[in-house]
Amino acid sequence: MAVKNVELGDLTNKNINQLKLLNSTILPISYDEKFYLNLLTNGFMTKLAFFNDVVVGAVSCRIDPPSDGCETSSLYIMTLGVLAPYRNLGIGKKLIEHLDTYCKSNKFSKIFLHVQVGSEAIEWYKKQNFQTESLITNYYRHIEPADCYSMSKTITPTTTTETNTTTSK
Amino acid sequence: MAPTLSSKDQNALKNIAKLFDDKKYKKGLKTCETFLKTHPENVDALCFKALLVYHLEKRDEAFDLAKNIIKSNMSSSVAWHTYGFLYRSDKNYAEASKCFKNAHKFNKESTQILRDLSNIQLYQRDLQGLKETYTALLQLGATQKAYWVGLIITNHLMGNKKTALHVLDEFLNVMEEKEKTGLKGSELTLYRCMLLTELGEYDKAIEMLVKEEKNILDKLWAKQKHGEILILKNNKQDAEKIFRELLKLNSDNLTIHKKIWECRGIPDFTKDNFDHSTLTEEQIKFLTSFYKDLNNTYPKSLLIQKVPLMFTQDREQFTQFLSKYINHFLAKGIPSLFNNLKGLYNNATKVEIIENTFKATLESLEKKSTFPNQEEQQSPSSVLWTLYYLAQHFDKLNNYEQSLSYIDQGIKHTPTCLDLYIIKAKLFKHQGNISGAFQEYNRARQLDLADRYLNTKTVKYALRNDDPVTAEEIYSLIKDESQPLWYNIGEFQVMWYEKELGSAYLRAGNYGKALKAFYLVDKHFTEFMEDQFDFHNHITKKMTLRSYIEFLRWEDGVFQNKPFTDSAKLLVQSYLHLKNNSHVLNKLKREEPIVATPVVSTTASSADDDDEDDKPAANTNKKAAANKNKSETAATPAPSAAIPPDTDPNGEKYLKEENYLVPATKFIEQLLKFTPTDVQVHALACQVFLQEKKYLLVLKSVLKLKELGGVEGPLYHQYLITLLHTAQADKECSELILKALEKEKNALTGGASLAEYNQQFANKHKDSVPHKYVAGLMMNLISPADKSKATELILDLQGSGAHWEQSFNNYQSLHSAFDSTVAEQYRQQCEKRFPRANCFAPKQE
Ligand SMILES: CC(C)(COP(=O)(O)OP(=O)(O)OC[C@H]1O[C@@H](n2cnc3c(N)ncnc32)[C@H](O)[C@@H]1OP(=O)(O)O)[C@@H](O)C(=O)NCCC(=O)NCCS
Repeated sequence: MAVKNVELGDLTNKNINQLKLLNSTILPISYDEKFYLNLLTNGFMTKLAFFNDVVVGAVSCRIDPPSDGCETSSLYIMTLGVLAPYRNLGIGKKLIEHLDTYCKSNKFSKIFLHVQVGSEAIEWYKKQNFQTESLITNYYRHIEPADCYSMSKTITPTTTTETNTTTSK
Repeated sequence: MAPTLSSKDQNALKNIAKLFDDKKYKKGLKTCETFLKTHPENVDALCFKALLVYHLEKRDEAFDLAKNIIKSNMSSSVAWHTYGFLYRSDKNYAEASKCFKNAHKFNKESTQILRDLSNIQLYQRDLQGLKETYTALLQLGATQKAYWVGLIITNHLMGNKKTALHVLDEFLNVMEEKEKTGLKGSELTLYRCMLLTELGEYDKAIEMLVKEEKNILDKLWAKQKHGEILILKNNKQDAEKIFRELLKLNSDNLTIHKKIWECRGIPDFTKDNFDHSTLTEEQIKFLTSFYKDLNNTYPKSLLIQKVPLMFTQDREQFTQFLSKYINHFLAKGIPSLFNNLKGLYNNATKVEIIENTFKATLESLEKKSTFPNQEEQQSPSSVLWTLYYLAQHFDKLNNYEQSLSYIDQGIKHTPTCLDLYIIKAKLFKHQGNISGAFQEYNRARQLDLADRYLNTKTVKYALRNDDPVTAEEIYSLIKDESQPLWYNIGEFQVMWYEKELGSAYLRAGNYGKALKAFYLVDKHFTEFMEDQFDFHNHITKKMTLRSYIEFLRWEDGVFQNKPFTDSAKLLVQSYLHLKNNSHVLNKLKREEPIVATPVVSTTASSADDDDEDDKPAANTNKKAAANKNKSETAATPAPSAAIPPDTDPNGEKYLKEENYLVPATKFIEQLLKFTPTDVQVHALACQVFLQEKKYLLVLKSVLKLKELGGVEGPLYHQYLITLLHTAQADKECSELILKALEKEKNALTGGASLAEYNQQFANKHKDSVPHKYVAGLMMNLISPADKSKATELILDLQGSGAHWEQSFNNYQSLHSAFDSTVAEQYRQQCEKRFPRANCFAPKQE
């Protein structure tokens, strides 16, 4: 089924509890109050996916400024999830596409993340052009298995087949 | 006559007038008193003094002054006019009207006096007087449109429609041609058509509509009117043609649909509780083919798909229509589906089909993501909306477990869908689980803090949950934070808040605050009445006489509006509880901060404009003063600096009443006048009048209860027997009344004794909880020796008709009507019968 009726929206201090509820429904790790408060500050980026005005998915990222290893900023996905009944409709893909566009228009070079070994999401991320970088052992403290992969995707501003690239800044 | 003044003195007087108009009362008074030193007898100055003093909040002194002026100037028009102003400001319109009439008597030339008089006469609906006033005004200035309109409207309201038409035509004659074009001309034509129709002059009305068609701007109204007149003329064929044309313009206008039914002699089957089996075969045949055609022409119209669900009796056809209709809503995720089908629930067969259809739909969606017997893939949210519907369906059937199970499945499916929590809250509320309802609304609210509807609902349920402190905290998030709560709700006429707040205090036995809240609602209705004062001049500018008449007719029934009747009933109840020292059932959930009554002198606020008149900073104070004097500005909130202190935070002044039955009677009389078919009003009237020993009035309400609820109705039974019992025991009760009562009793009991009759009543209704309750109460009243039998009847909650809310009221009454032991036993029974209702949970001290 094609993605109809899906719109992306911003996180605000009025709807932040929906994100909390969404994440606690989907993700195995629970995040504390401070984590969510941070999301509203500069240096973070969240997009909510609305299906017929109801929040059914979301992605939250941290913006990592340029560092020794990297000359430009990059996006680190902290959480990504779509409610189970709404999966496989292209909503997750739409969220990733948004991140791509965002990176392009802000000249970010990379999106990266950590994903638990054995997760179905690994295959999914591969399908979204992410590559496995390395295995990190004992990454998680409270969940089993504790190991994870680090995955990433390089953003190349010019060589793109995307049609909906926003050029304006 | 006073000696003529020098031009200097005249200017001084003008200056005082200006100061008064600018609301610089302090300064005005000083200037005025200086002037009076040299002209102690000057009536104009004396009058200004009285007005100034009144506006400086020395009401009594102002009235004394005015009385004295009149004493020495009995024939001074100015003096009477001033006296009238004071009464008008005091809202004593009867006296104000008398004074203005006297003022007119001594100055027949003044249009101002007559205009002031007309305003009050309109407000009081003194139509005869109003007619005279407008006639006098027209004689003084025949060119003033406002007077013509006034005379026309007055005659119309009086029912003198012929005269109204006559005056209207005369007015049209004297009007300049260019005035009769555009909107004004169109409005006058349509008003004339309205009058002609009300007069039964149908042909003339139609003739005019046809002739003036080009000049009429409100074409839809005119066309609809044309059709309606044809129906009145019994020319239904032509009427139907017109309504069919109107349908082309808006196929979703239910009113037009109804008119077409009317043309075919088909009753309005969309009314609540309409028995659809009363429609004839022929009628159903017409409707079926009519809606089939419409459906072909307007395949997208939801109304056209909905109407057949109501009249269709054939199982198969109904099922087919239903599936098509609901699939549309479910696919699109439109939450209002249940509201659209609610009207079908008085038909058991349809309810059964609805249930089966939705269950089959759910199964199909869960298995294959399609609607039954269809191929097209549906979005995952159709499952959600099907669950959402089923939850409401089972709530409607009072099947709590099923409803809860579906709603919880929905929440599991899409926990971020706020509508689910609202339904869960409603389900809880229906079961009496008010704290649960509050929590669900609050959960939804926290998920979307920007949603005002959810904020409002949560506040309402916090109040119902006996928690004004939490309610205020949540409400504060949406109200102007500089305004204290009571000020804010009063200023913005937030009547639902006032009613719920008052009710919470009433349950908690805090009668002062309860009354204070209910009186705010009462005040708003007075404000609505006073809105009329501004209307007349506005109307004559646009000549929108049709809506003016409708507005005035609405004003006539303004006290029929639910917010008023609800609060008035609660006011009466509060007074009865006060009078009877009723048992208090609830405590507020959270302690309120104690507010001591401030010892502010009433003049403190008027000191504000002291000598600051000329400084720009005084602007806000002026506004405050304006607010106090002009009700029409009530909707514009004053700046925070001008918020007057609350001199009676606990509503203590309402408790100082000497006899609580006096205000209770006042409200009961108003209720009886405006909502004479409300059984609760009559039950309350019986209680109040019994206490006042006004047995004839009790009998009147008892008979009304019989008319409304039948001879077997529990309320009629209860109050007739209570009346008989009370009157017979009252040695001062007149023979006449006793005879009338005896007659009513014999007609009912056929000569049997009250005790026997009551027993028969109990036997006859042994499956009805409300009947058994009343029978028990009456048994205890008539023959106290049978107390244990009576108790048994009361405690027997098996059978139909029991509702937690009514039972809760009963529980409170039992403390005085029986004793607290029985009351406690009753509570325990209620707790078993309504296990989820909070109000029957044992009180933890
Ligand atoms: C991973 C997740 C976000 C994907 O969201 P989604 O909206 O269902 O994904 P989409 O519908 O956009 O999938 C896009 C494509 O991936 C494919 N896909 C879906 N799930 C897949 C999987 N587990 N493995 C491989 N491919 C998959 C889809 O078929 C679709 O293919 P197409 O583009 O050829 O049609 C969602 O499954 C989820 O929330 N999972 C649980 C939480 C989680 O693991 N989060 C990631 C850790 S931070």
